[in-house]
Amino acid sequence: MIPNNADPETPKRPVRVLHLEDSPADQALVRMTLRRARVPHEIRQVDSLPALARCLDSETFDVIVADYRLTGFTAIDAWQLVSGRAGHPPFVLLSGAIGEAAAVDAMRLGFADYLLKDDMARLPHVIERALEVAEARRAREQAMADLAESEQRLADLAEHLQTSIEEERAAIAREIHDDIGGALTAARFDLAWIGRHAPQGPLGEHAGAASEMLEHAIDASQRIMMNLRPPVLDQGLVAAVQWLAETFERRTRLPVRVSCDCKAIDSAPPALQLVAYRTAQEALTNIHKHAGATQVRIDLSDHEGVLTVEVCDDGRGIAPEMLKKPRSFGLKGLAERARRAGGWMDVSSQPGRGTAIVLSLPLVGLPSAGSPLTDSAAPTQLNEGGAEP
Amino acid sequence: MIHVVLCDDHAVLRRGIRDTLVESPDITVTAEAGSYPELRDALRTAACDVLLLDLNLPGRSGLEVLASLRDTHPQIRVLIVSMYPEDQYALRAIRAGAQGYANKASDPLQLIAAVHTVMQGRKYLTPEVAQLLADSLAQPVPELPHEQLSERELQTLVKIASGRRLSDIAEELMLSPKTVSVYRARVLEKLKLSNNAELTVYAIRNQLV
Repeated sequence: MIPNNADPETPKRPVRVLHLEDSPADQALVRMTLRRARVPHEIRQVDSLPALARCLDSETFDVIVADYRLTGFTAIDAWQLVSGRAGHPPFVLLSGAIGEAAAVDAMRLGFADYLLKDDMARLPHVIERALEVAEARRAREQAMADLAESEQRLADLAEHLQTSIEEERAAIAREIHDDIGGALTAARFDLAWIGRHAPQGPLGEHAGAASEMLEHAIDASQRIMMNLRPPVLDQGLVAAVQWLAETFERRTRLPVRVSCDCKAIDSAPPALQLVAYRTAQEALTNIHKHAGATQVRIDLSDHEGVLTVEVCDDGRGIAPEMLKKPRSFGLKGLAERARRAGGWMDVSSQPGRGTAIVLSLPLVGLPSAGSPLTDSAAPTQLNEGGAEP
Repeated sequence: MIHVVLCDDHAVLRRGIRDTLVESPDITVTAEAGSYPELRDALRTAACDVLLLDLNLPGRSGLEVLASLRDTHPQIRVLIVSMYPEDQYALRAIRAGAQGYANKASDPLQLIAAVHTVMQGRKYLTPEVAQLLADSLAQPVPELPHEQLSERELQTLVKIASGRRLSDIAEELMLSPKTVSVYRARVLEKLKLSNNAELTVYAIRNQLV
């Protein structure tokens, strides 16, 4: 009868009933009905609102059974007292005829059930059902809470991963700059010296060849460093996006126009600037891979307290069914990143009429004079300050 | 004789640069520093006409050091020598008062030419930096206020002027209603208008609708 978590072998716990009734005869009748039905139970009977409140404060109950009209108050008053309590037990009306309208009102308020006193024999059944419904509701609420918690954990994990990735990138770029790059350059100076001072012949030739190889290695390390985290990011979003657009243009021969209508975009929090930069970067990658565009436009703005990055192309657009694909163009990841940064991302596209990726990040409500990237994400630090959430 | 001071945290690299520079008979390296504090100490005693400065040493930002050097030692010509390619830092370094920007990855002998160039009171610009400078001058200035608008901002303007409701605009442009309302506010601000009626008048006058 108690749809509890207890496993079937353990004896059933008695149902704890709180009975609100001011007629001693009816109180006795309920006790007798439950006894006859051999329902294992404990019953507490009260006849006033203060007594009801006291009982609810000091004990827990599985079900409340209440008469409708009592001296000086009704079950509705009792309901108001009970329903304010979190996780309150189901509330069953056990009453004389109260009229259909009052009964409907009561059910609308959230009463679990309504039983006429004439029908007292059904009380055990009604209680059982009320308990089942309440248990199902509790289980559903628990499941919802578990789900929400799990989603939150997932979001935290995703955020942590993103932060780790950015930190790792910054750290690797830093190591390449400091150790590998420095050592290669130093070696190159010495090799060039040997080349200049060697007598005519194979020694100078070998030094020259080695010097050339080193040049390749230095170029490669610079390229890797750029791809990981361009140092230009430390000069703020505008410089970084302009650089991004120039290198994209050189690489793909696709003209990119950057326009910036900004008040103080470079003093936006570094973490937001980084999200904006990565979004622009990903959008450009998509355009190169998929769009077949002939020109690209990037607009930066921070008017109206919102940092907006709009990357627009005139390519073939994204068909709606492509957008729904879970991994489509990494856009889901960008949207998620925007959401975690307190903003949102729009993908505005129609087949044949280009695509616009619009990232909006509200700046208001944030500590306004955020340090520019140069301060907190200076390349001299191992961890990129800009990656902090 | 040109007195040169080197500031770089790699001792081996400093030696490489020094050995390269002194091949020019009129250059002498008077001091070396491995960090910015060491540089300050070195400049108290050593004669310095040209400073070869790495921008990315641990600690303070190199650009800040450059700016404060301009105050304390205005006579020193600063040549930035960086591991980073020109497009990352060069313009900013030159705006902050450097006389030149050389990439460590380029031919070592160029450093000698660079020192001579800045010593003559001229700027040392590699072809890459010169190109960047030229590009930075050639930024077109928009003529009409609405040319400052982004693609979707302009479309928002046109649709408001045609009497569409914000929610319809959001749907037609596939933008979220939040974005559309940010865009509307921004369009009004950029065009210095105060309401939808003025916006419609603007759109009609400029033949946008």
